[in-house]
Amino acid sequence: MEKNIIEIKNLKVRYENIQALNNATLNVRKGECVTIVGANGAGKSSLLKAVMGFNKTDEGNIIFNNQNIENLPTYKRAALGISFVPEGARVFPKINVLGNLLLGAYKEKDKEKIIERLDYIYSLFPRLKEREKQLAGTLSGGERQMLAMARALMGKPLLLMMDEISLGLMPKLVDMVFEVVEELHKSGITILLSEQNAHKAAEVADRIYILELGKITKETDKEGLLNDPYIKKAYLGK
Amino acid sequence: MLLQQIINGLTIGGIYALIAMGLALVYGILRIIHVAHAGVYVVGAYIGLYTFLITHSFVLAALASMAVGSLFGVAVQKFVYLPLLKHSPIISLIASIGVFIATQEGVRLIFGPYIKSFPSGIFDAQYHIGGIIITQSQLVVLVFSVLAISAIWFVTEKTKFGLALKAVSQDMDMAESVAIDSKKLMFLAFAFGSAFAGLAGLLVGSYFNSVYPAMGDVPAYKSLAIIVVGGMSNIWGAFWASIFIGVLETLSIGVFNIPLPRDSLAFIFMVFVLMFKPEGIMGLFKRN
Repeated sequence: MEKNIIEIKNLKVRYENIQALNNATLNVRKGECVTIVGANGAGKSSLLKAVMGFNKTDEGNIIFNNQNIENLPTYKRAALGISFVPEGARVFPKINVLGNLLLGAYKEKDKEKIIERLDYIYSLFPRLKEREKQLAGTLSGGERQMLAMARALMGKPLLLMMDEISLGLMPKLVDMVFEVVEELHKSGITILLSEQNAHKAAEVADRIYILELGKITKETDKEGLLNDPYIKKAYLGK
Repeated sequence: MLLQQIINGLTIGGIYALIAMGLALVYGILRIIHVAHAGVYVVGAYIGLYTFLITHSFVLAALASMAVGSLFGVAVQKFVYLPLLKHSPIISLIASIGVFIATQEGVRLIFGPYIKSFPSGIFDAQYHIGGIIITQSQLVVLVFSVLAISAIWFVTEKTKFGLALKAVSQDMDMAESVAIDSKKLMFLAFAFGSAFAGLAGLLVGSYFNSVYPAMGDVPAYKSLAIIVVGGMSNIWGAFWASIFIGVLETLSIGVFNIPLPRDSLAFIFMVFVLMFKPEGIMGLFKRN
């Protein structure tokens, strides 16, 4: 069995009176694609933001690549190899597509490697090559989502975290985005995904965690997700 | 006459640009109206003057103004703005006004309340080109402004640091998520922007041959009008607004004889811009 890239133990996050995460525990092994499925407000985004360092954690540990990171600032976590695609893409709107991509490889000093990564990104997302000089704020929603994913990949992450990447996209674009996720998974990138769309989660994930009211209530695999009567009723509408 | 006034306007506009571009840079990153930037300008003028009196080198005076301006700006950021970041921006604005007043009063206590001048005759030469007269002091201002603005252009548009500055000013969390150390970058941005405010102090001091404690009063509020016209955090908006306002002031007074106080024109233009293009002349996206 591959070693853990990330281990989250008994994580607690609180926003004033709301307990967003309550003893959340999960792990992702090298090369895996793990999805966190939960309803709106279950704490999926809070969990990913806590791993990235956007949210302060009250208790618990985050161990990334055998190192405790819960007290590190965000930029140091990113430098260790965690990339994050937030909900709503959040590209840098007044910087062009190429600039956004170069920012993704901010820590890389070797120009050859940056060019190699750009070539790889453009092979995954040819549309971005066409839009290279365009300001990111003028892209369509789908293109922005592609750019956010591409920017995260430019850092050559050890762990790629993506938050609700299908949210607000047309069905055709959702399929395209998940095809890319599948391709990334096949290429060996370790992925932690949060998703409301349980069907899509089942398509790409090796393992799935169900998050409810800030707690991990179930860990299952693809078949388990699709055959569990409770999950079918709660998340698949069957 | 018209061309002469345009040259005069460009000279003034270049100085405005050196102050306003730094202010826009700081606003873009911290979202703070950095009134104390004009205090950096005053300190830069005095440091430059005294360095010149000791060394007789304008280049050394310019470097000293920039270095001390940088240090002063960084000190304001570290000891005043950073501790106040968690509070409303109004608190930082009030603190900034306080720092500006304290700086002017500090300068008054140390150097005295009277106007200080550069030695007579150092920049008195005049150059006649066609029908235009360019004074040596004007030439010094133009050359240093062009060099400084070219340096700002190169750093902000052609370097990784410039790209990171833009990223931090647009979304600090996301900038950190691509491994940019935003605190270090803020520190560097203050150092960079303040260096040019210090230089502007020296240039104005030499151009008008007077350095005095209250010389920051007009730049303190006029540079705010300029960055509003330019689109607040847009440093190239601030540049074009500075040039435009510099030329507008000179033409209005020198050619069209408009009977208005020179320093009111920037504000009249600001009101005009806010009415018809509130995002500023180069604002790409409308402000919320």
